[in-house]
Amino acid sequence: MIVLQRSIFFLMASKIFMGNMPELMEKILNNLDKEIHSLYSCALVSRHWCEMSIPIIWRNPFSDYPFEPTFISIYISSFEDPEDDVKSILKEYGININFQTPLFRYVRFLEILGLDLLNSEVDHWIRIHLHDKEKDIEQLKYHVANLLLKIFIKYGVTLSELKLNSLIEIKPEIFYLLEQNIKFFSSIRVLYFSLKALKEWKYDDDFDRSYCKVLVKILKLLARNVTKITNIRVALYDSDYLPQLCHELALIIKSQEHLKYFNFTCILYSQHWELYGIVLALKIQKETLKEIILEGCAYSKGTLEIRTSGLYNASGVVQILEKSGSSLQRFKLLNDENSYFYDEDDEDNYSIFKFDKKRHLIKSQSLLLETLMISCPNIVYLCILGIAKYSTHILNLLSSLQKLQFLSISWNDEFDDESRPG
Amino acid sequence: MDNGTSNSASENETITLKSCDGIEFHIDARIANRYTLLNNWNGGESACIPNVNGKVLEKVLEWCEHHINDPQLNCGDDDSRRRNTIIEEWDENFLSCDQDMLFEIILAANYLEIKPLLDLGCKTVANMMKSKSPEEIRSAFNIDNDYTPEEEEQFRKENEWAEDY
Repeated sequence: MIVLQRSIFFLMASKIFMGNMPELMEKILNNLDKEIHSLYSCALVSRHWCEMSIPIIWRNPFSDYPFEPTFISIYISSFEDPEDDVKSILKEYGININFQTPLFRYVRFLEILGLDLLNSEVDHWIRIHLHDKEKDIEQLKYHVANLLLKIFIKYGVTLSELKLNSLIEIKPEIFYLLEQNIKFFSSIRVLYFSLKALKEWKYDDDFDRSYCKVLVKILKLLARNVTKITNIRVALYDSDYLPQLCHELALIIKSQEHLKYFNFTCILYSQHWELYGIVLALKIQKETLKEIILEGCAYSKGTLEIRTSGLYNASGVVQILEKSGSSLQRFKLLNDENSYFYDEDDEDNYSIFKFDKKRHLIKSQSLLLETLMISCPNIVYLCILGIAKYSTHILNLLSSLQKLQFLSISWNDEFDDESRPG
Repeated sequence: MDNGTSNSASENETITLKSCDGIEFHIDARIANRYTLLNNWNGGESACIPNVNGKVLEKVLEWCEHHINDPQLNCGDDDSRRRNTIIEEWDENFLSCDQDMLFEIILAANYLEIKPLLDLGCKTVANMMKSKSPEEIRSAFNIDNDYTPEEEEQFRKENEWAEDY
């Protein structure tokens, strides 16, 4: 009886795993897309399993895991272009890799690309292969990173997710190739971009200029060629390029057919916040949008002022507080959901977007209050207006702030459906 | 606020489904309303669902009944935002059945286009593969290794970064 049962099980399993129903097998393996080591085991089961697992393994190889990025050698080894001299440049640096033809053209499986990770993995790869560890590698990084972009574009990669969190200097020929191969961008569903300065919490003119120029060029390309983005996440700070970046972003928003999630954080060095057409563009997309998060943070001399609108997620604020919280003395949070959507000439306002606000706001609020409690012991002035609901986090925060002298706090009764303390 | 659970059928309305081996099930019409293919087989005596036997159909309908009030997801919802291998306790217990039944449920859910149950079944099978060696996976699903030693060696070399992941 047990033997018979095993046979039935293998019959059912074999329908899926022997190649009769590849769509089901793909569905099963897709659940392991964060378990690359498990997928590696699956790929070694048999040739058919290998064919099913490899596209998922190679979908997003760039990561911040500390393993050796040998996949870069595989990418380069698959590329033959007599006009490209990067391989000879690599030899000049003493990097000789045995470029053997790979089993698959792995590059065609790439779907997710973050330029910050591309940059760091190229750096890692060069340092592993370089014999002279003292040698300056900036020029070589520039050549290898651009070579990889060239390989991706020329071999017909179709990205689904693009992260522009940090940029390398991009050769003019890459922009030319992008113009000729719009397929590279045309299926992007998820777009992230941010200025690295948001994380580093510093302002650098050179960085600002070079980064923003490249970013504007890429955003222009995206605005012209991409219509399928569902999720945009942006983090910027105010700079000379902010109007131009916001303008390009507004054009991208307008050209999407199914935009659902929009998250915008901006760190300001003045109190003035202008969104340069983004709100208008969002209103055009009101039929498809499911979530909008706008968050502006103004920071100067120990004071952090945050203005939020919509379903803020507090992630940008939390980053700042974790980094600079101990020097913070004044904290002000104003949550006004209509502040950026209000227009005297237009009856539409934020209420045109129908979202499940409560869940998002309460989650963000808890995160923010906890971070204030842990990272900001020196706050003297605290003003939090328009938060989602009363919670014990507020009491805990107040009892932890030993230096507090000025307090102003209010919450929204609309969400206050739990009993308040006596 | 509309949570996506509104159905035109009322709570007391029932419909009849028949499995391929002739077993009849009288189910809440709201279940059939959620899944178009089930609704198509609401034919009483003559119509029966091919390819799904009574034992499997009973399990599938049990799952549908338990999840009758779940919000319905739109087809276009971004998969990547939801994908993970975490399974709720009730569902985990529900699929703690024989492995042959698990695969039959997956095939039935696929056939009947009951996407959430299909996703759940696929997650469960994926969890069975997690952290297993190739040999353990071959043994669990009775798969023969058809690699040549040379191919296997080259594959390992080209994908060594994934082994370290």
